[in-house]
Amino acid sequence: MQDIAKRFAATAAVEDVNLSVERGEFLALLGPSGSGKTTLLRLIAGLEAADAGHIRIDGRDMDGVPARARHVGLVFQHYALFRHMTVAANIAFGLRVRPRATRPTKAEIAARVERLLDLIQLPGYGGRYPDQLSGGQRQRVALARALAIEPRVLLLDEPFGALDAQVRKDLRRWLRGLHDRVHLTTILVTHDQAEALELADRVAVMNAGRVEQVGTPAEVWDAPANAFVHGFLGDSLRVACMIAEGIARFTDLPADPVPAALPDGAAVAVIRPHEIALRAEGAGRVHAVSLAGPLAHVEVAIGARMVEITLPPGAVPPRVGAACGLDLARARFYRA
Amino acid sequence: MTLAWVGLLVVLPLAALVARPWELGMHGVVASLTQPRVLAALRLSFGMALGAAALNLVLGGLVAWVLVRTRFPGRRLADALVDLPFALPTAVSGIALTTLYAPNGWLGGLAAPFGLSIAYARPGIFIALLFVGLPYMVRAIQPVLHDLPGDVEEAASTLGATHWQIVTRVILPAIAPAAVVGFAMAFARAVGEYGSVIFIAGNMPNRTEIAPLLIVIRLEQLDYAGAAALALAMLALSFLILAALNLLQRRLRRHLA
Repeated sequence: MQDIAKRFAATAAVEDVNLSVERGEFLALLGPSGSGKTTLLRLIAGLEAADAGHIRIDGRDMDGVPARARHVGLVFQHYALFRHMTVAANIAFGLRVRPRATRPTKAEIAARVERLLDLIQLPGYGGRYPDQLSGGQRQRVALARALAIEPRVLLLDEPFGALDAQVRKDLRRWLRGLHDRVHLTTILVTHDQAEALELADRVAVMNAGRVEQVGTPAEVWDAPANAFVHGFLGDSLRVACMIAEGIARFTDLPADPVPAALPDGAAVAVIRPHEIALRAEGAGRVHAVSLAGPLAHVEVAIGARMVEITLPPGAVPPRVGAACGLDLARARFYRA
Repeated sequence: MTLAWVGLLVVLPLAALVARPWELGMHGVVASLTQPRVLAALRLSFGMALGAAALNLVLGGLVAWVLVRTRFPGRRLADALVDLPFALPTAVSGIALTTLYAPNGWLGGLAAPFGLSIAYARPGIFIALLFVGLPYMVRAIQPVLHDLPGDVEEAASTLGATHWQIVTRVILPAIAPAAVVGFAMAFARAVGEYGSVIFIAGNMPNRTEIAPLLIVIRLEQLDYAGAAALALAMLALSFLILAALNLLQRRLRRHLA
């Protein structure tokens, strides 16, 4: 697949989006709810019509091509299985609705259903009904149903959103393994940054209908393009500041000025909890210390705010009530 | 406790009905039920009720789909109007329909030049039964259609299904159990319908005389046992049909939690 580019002028849902996904690539569309990522997915699937712009799959313009002719596999958050059909009939649906000329024989369909049941690790479940399966099993059936039509691109709309944490994790790992084996071009929509960073080859971070940054998980994590991307990827602290002659002075938090490579003017500093260093002196006070888990977390009351810090491994946690200060030297600065 | 109430409210009157006709003796009951006029009335009542319920499957299904899946001005009003046949006194429905379909009525006048009579003939009965049965069908199907997520239809279309395939393979099977319930209720209402039909039917023995009317006629002739015999026959037939529909409905629903 090459060159998915589309542009929207009229709707605010998705605007000026230009994206291309390579054949065999796993792309995640990551963003908060309302950022337009699901709309984008539905546009690719043909369930919505674009107001402007073009979507091309394998170089072919999809303008005016209805969903059923796009050969795009779509997996929904709430599975959308056909409850009155068996698991096998669900998986076979996309093959059975084909016109006679291109429809595989009954034996071929049955064989493909068996292979897909093996693939989703539910052999022998063909005769069951969706209501007899767990959420994770249902989502795997939905995936097999989408894979059965041998789609040119697989679209996943928050596929783990309705599952509990452990199932979600297992399914995530299984899905990545599956992609590594079959190399099907895949676009995943998610609001969960951990999911996007773990699964995808590249992540497109979306906000308010626009793509803020596209890059590998390491790129977007290590070099966020702007304060939004930085803030959306994991917990972080935002502090307003003024920059003058390469020095940032924090305006809404009492912390020492630090060097910043930005032109003079208002800016915002973003820093992750493990990048904040704790000092023995300063305007803050240790409010709480949590030693649960592999890393110690410290809450510091400073100015009018409560700041969370993750201590480096092996660091001695401070006493609750002790005075302390914050070192924000590792913050990234963005124009306000 | 529940059983006691059901017993008191439903079973006791029915038991009284079952006990009544046998004063005629077995032969008398059979003779009473095999009169040509009685058989014609039973055939008419059950045939028309089943036919109207069947057509209501299509009409009610369409109305329900439009009310659930489309947005148009006046949709709420249309939704409220569906219940009107529930609420109208049956005599009012009968008089209104007769006025409309009589040879000098708005619609009856259109059919009259072609030699078709609607009121005072069988089509009139059919239309009256269609009218009173429609809300049962719509209200049975509507919630199920409402709960059938739109993404199921969307999933089908991304899998390559045409609109027709989506309707026949996804929507219809999903609403089938509810449609059977709606059919049973529309049928039950139609087979016992009295008020709206007698105005429009013409009530000619052997031709347009429905079984409930014949029961009333027998009562007026003080033939209580004969009325009870016919009533018992209606009870038995209705029970068989409803039991069969109930069984069908269970079969269709067995996979759904």
